[in-house]
Formats: sequence, structure tokens, C-alpha cells
Amino acid sequence: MNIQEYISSGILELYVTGAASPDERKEVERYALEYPEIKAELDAIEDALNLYATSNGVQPPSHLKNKILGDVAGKTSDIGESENTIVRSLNINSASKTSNYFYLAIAASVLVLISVGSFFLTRSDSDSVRKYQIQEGMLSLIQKKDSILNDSLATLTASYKQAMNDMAILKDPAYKMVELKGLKPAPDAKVMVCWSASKKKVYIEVDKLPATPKGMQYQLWAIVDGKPVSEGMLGPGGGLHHMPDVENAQAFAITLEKEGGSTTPTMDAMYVMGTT
Amino acid sequence: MTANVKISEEELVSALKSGDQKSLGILYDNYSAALFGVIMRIVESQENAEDVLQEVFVKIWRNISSYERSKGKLYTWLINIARNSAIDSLRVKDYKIKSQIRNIDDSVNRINKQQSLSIHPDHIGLKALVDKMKPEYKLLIDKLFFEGYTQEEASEELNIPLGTVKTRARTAIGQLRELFEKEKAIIK
Repeated sequence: MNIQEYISSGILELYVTGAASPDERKEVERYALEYPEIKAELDAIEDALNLYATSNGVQPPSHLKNKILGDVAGKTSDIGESENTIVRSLNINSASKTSNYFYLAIAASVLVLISVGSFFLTRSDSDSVRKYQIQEGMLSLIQKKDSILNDSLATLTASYKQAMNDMAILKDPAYKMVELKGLKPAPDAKVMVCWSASKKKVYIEVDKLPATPKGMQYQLWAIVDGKPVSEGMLGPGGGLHHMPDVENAQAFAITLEKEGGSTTPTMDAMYVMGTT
Repeated sequence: MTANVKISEEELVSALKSGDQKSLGILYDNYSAALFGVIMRIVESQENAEDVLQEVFVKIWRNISSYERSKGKLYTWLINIARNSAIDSLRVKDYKIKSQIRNIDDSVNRINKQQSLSIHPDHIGLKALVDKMKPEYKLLIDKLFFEGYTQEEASEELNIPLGTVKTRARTAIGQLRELFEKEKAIIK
């Protein structure tokens, strides 16, 4: 990949402003883990935009601070829940989101029906202002429902696409499933690597790995002719992750390294390994 | 940036993650003006904007455990929450339809309204700096960054080809970076 070309495409700017598509977001996050130049560029863009936000700041009224902090203090945070699980399945999140939208959509539909009913009931009423208000209300409910349905459709489409992509790789006979089994630091850890010798492509799915300590990250290695070759850093998120291509791998292994990775694996921090 | 209490972003994040309520006060002092600025761009009335700001701090407190540095800086994460909450609050009020018919007069009014609100005195210099940007670049950054437009929406709204949105976003932010770099050089 041409890193400079990627940087100058403008995709990183869209990522930071939040305007990148879900696919683009994933790609940027993966490259940022893989290439320090991209991470540095992202940081610089963030700094510029954040200064821009600072320059556009508006001081909230002073009474608000105590009100807000008091309100927040009354609510507990759910610390711990997501810290213990390194990989959270995106699908679970989107499914629950979808069902919320679904109930909202039903609620909105019922409200629309009620409004339609009341519109007909009051039809004989000569008060045209009231009619107008009901129509306004109906319109706003329909629009609301429409936007809710659009949102849930987008979420579903994204998770469907991801699932189809994952399935196409799993079904492809060119790919071999390599099971990386837990070693001494975590005997019940398990990671699957899908590797195609002919296509040289590597995908990884984390089944079970302990959470990483602060400042540490998992690094994937391919053993090529007896020598370890870095296959990139493991990012957060569920599903299949595309890793750098490799040819003639005899084995794959994962070690725990400092954030950003190492040039050689720390052998006593090897968590899983499997031969091809 | 506006910090009265100097504490690194990293320290602040770990204090927040450990549930330290004092750290939330520091977060408020450091970032509330910027977040309120973002919300005021999107939400029409100040009263609603105050409600959204409150909601934003509740969300920050509840979700701080899911924040990961590898996906971006804390500041960017906070702005995302503020922008999304503001847009969500409008969606209920038919934001999309409204925004389509919102004309230039409205935008001018909104900008005037915003300028009449108190701007943080530390930021007057920064503000003057930003005003040196080409207006069309500033507009694109505002649409994408503050108002949460997608690439497609920005392309349609500003009448520029979709492919150009990416490259222009880069040029615009490049200009911003240059301005800030120069400013830093002057301060030093």
C-alpha cells in the first residue's frame, strides 16, 4: 500500500470529522494500528480540528455546571463491564439498537393511526386551525418514523454486509482454518486464523483472549522458514479482521507486546500458537 | 486547552475510568465550552442546548469505559458524543426536513446568534485566526465536523462532486493546520 497516497486522499480527515462510512472507518482504524505514519497524521488532524472546536467554544451559563455534575453524580457508571472483554461483538450491539428502533417504529405507527383516526373524527369540525395542527402532527410523526426506519435499515445493512463478507471467506476452499491454541499464560485462549497459501491472504478472528493490560497490545506473527514475521497488531472489535499478506507460513502465533508492536516476538509472552 | 487545572489527557481518562467524580469537574471545566459550542451549532434554542449538554455529560460518564485511545483522542470522542446527541435531539423534531429548507438567512442568523453569546476570552485570538480561513473551506469543515453531515449530504448541500468532498476536506483541514502552526511559531 502507498501510505502517502492514502494519507493525501482525504479519507483521514473524513474519519476524524465522523463523515467516513462504516467500511472506511474500519479500514482507517486497521491501518492506523498497522502504520505509525497514518496514526501520526490522524493525531495531527485531530489536534487541528480540536483547536478549531476550542476556537468556536461557547461558554455555557455558569449555573449549569453544578446542575450537570449533580445529575451525573446520581447515576452510576458501568465501569468494568466492557473492560473485561477485549472483543465485543459489534453484532450484539447493533441488534439491540435495532430492536429499540423497532419498538419506537411500532410506537410511532400506533401514534400515526391514532392521529389519522382523530383527523377523521374531527373532520366535521369547522375549526380549520385544529385540522391543520393534526395534519402537522401527523406529518411530523411520519417523518420521525421514516427516520427511525432509515436508521435501523442502515444498521442492518452494515451488519449484513459484514456477515456476508465473513461468510464468503469462510466458505472459500482456498482458505485453511488454523486453530491457535492457548499456551502457558492463558491455556484456554483460542484464536482462529484463516489463511490461503495461494492467495497469501490472512484473516483472524479472536475467539478468546485475556484483556490486554494498559499500554500493551497483541501482535500476530507468522513463522516463515523458521523465522517470525510480524503480521500486525490486533485491533478491537469482533468479526474477521484482514491482516497483512503472507506466503509459506508454517505457523501463526500471538504475543503480548508494548503498544504499537515489537520487531521480534517476546517469547515468554506467547499466548497462542498453531501450525498450518 | 482552557485548562484551569493542568492534567494530561491520559491522566484524566484513567481518573474518569476509575469513577473519580472530581475528574468529571475537571473535564467540565476543560471541555464544556467547546462541547456547548458544537451543540449550539445544531440545536436552535439555548434551553434545548443546555438539556443536550447535560445529556452529553451523563453519556460521557456512563460510557467512558468504552473509550479507547487507539481509536482517537479524548477530545474528538467528546465532540462526537456532543454532535450526535445534538442531532438526535433534533431528529425528534424533524431535523432532516427542516435542514433541507433552512435557507441562507437562517444560517446567517445562527452565526450571529452564536457570536452574540459569550466567547471564551482565551479564544478570541484563535477565533480571529480561524476567520482567516477561506470561507468555502470553513463551511465544509463546519458541515462535516460540527453539523454531522455525511459525505453525500455535504456534496449535495454545497453542490460539489462527491469525490471532491474528500480532497477538499483535506485541503481545508490542511489550511487550518497551517494557521495553527504559524500561530504556535509566533507565540514561541
